[in-house]
Amino acid sequence: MKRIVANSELCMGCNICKIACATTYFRDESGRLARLKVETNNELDENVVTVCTQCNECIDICPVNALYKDKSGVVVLNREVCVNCLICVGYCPHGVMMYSKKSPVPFKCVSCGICVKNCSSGALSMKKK
Amino acid sequence: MLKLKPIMEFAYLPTSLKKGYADKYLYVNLSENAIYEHAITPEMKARYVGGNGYALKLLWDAVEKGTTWRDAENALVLATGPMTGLSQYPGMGSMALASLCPEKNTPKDCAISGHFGPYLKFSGWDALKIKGKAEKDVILIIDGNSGRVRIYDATFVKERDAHALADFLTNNIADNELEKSGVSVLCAGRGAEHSINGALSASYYDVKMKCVRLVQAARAGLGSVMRDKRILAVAVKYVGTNGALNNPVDLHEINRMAIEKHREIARALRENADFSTCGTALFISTAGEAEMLPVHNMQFGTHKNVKNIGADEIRKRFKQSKTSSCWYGCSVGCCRAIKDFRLRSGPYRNKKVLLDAPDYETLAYLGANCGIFNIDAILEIRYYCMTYGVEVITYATEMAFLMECYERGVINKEFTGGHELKFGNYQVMLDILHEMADGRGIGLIVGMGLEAIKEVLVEEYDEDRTFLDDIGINPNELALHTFLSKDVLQYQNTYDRNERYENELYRHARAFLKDTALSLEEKVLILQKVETLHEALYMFGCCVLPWQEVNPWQSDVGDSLQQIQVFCRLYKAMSGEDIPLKEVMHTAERIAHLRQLFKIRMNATESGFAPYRFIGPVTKREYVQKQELYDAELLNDAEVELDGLRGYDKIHALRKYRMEKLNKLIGYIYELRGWDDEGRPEEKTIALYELADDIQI
Repeated sequence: MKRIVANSELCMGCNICKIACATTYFRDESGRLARLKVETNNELDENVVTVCTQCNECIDICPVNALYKDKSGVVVLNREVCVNCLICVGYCPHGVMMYSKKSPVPFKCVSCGICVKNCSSGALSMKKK
Repeated sequence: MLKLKPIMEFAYLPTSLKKGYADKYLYVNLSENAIYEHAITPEMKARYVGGNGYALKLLWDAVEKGTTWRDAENALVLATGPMTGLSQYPGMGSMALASLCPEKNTPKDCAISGHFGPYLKFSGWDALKIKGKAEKDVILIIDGNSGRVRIYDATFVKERDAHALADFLTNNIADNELEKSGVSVLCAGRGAEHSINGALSASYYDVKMKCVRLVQAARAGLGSVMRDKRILAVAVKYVGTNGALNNPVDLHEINRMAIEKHREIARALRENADFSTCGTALFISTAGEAEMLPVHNMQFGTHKNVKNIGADEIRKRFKQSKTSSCWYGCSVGCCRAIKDFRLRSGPYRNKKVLLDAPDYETLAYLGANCGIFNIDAILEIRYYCMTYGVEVITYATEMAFLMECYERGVINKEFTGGHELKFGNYQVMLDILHEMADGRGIGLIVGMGLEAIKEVLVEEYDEDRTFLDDIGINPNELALHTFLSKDVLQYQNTYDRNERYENELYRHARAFLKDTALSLEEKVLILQKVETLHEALYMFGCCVLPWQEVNPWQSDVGDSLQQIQVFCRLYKAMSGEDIPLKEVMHTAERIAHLRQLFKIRMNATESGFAPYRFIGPVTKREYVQKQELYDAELLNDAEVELDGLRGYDKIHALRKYRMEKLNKLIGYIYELRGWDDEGRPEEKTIALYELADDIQI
């Protein structure tokens, strides 16, 4: 299984990963449409990175089987089948099934590795298995 | 591909919905073999909104004083609301149905969730009105993608039971596996041909389970009306569901609110694992402990075997996905099911079928009230009720009545056709159900309905009418309480006043079971608000569950009213109109008054009080069960001297006292509603709700 792993302790909060992700998929340079989350807690001076763990929860709850695992174990969405119920967005335990008015259907991390390539602190890595 | 002969075809241009409305309805006249498109006027839309409002108004316009349910003029009306079909927000698959009910020619409306309502609307119709009678069995199919409505000759269709028929039509209307989820079938079953309490079921294709499932519409005898019109099924096909089809003013706001609601439900279900794994079946043990579970035809409030049909047993069997629902976007997940349940009786013996998890009502009425504490038996009876098109709760209530009659010697094996009709004998319940489907034996008598059974017992067996009236709970007239009502005064006033809303009230457990600080008047006011609230939700085309069912023990009416404010925000995003809560409630009240006026128009207000079993103890055994409570009530509240009073004297004294109290309460409620002593909306009420032009009575 291919998945991104985050080590929040190494994150510097530069958000370059988000910008790279959002630019790739939405041409959005603000990073708002990224498929991973970087939350900064100024009081504790820490950054928390959340990425999809490919945990299957969204697959279980999708009423039309629009979500499935591809050959490499990554959860992907079949846009043709999706009925926009948005249950996957509400039920994602990590809050990383994303919704935006710019996309007709929800979107999520597909473990493409763009964020890993752009992360200079080593906070993000790709795990295979 | 459906290989049936079309009798009639009507082509139309499917148009996009605007702000949740198509603004037209489909009118099918089977006697004339004609199909028409009718506009829904802006005035009607403003005054009745949709759902139950549209259904009752279209029915009102279709029939006349004196029309009976069997007349060709009687209409079967299906109506959606403006929110019906939102695929992203929980509980938006609801549709209202209305017709003259067979039992007393009373206008009845009920709601059904699932795929039918949304697909009807996506096909370009806010409502469907069917009048007339076909000369032979027909199937009506609406194809919302191609814009065609066809009536087919169904004479040679072999499938007559609901599951088989829905399966047959889904497989034949859909061109491939993907399209199956775009088909919904509304049908009854063989049993509805021999019963006045036939029920309608709507199908949906469960993509996860890869099979057709059914949802049944509650108590109104609409299945009997449908079969009387010789309609075998009505099917609708619409492929291409998505969240934008209603064309709301602010789709983004709706999506945002939907995600918020999904998160709220997910959180609540994670916190309350009990509810998420067994649904309302959770309340069985609670009701049993509180001695409020209807047991043995509502004689008692609990039973030693309650645990056999309790939450633990449900949990063992039903382990399906937590969000299994009858319409997309509903994350409440009330449609849990098990596959491969092997049937043990009837024409489908040894067949493995999919069964839905039983809810509280099914377990309480088909189970405890009939003395059946065996979940497998309850599930099989319910399956056959649905497949034969027999209303589950009605059948259960009638059988409980007959079981009590049998045990008391009122009827014997001569009457039952040799059946040992004792409480708990589930095999006999199944046998009689099969007889009803085949139109033979005691099944035919049960199919005549409770009032007719009582007539037979009085005329042919010379039985005491008063006693039969006291113990015969007629669910068609009953806002069936899921808790035993006989010791809860505020529940008792609802008989025949209101069709279905009050049966939801137990969910407000805090107000009624726990909060003793509330006065009776306060509780009654709360009841009234909840009734109106449910009326409003059905009017907009919403199921009530997502608005209050998430964590029922913690919810109260205040929460529900808050939910309606959330609803107003949602409606604003759909329509662009900022309607205040007060106006929503006013419109919903208008529908309640229209229903009452409709009953009066059809001369159907005379049923009045509930059977006394609904109000207090009828027999000595019931009295003795709670002697301490009843004695205290007589002594302290009724100020009756107990010395020298024997068993039946006490029962009579309590009856007199309780009826006086109930009468007073009903008077208070009628006054609150603006009705006179006989339940007729007063002139000023008709004026306040601007009903005069619509009703013309």
